[in-house]
Amino acid sequence: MTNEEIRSFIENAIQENKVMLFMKGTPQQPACGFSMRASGALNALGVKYAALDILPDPRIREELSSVSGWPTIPQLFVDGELVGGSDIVMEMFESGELAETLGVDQPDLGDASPGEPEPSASEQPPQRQTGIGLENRLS
Amino acid sequence: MVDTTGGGDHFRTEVVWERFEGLTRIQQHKLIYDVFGDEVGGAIHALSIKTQTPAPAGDGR
Repeated sequence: MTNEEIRSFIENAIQENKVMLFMKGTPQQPACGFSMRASGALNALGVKYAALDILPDPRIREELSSVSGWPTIPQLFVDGELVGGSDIVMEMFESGELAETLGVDQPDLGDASPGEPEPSASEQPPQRQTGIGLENRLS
Repeated sequence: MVDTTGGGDHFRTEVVWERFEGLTRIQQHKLIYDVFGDEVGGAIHALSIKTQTPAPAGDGR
């Protein structure tokens, strides 16, 4: 897979998925605390989102940062626009702005920490509906 | 600027800057990233940022 193919894959993923999260690891198995918090916030809101693990090939991150102008992971896109990294996502989650942006109701947070998604919280793994499979294409 | 792990590669920073006025959070954070250039994502693995204008209007949006 060439860099151009990776780049166009990333651009397509951003355009084709209303809520697109680039992260280290997967929503089920985040490989970094920041990625865990971002996917945890989305899980807590109960929105469907596509998630792409950037770890399988370093070029994914390089191309992504070049597309977005954002140097770190995770990166959340909504409607094709960069919303932010984990700090902004968490700020927006806590203020209710993220729920508003995504058109869902702000959950009653209570004790639920978005950083620790419970496996039982979602009936379907959020990742399943995405089927991006960039890992496979890269191997 | 706080070194959160002591390893010199994870940092947390809070910046109050009048230049943030009228900018989205994305733009504010990008200004901070610009200060560090290629170091963020390179030598600096993680940089946690909180930005604020000197006199935030309402919730600082």
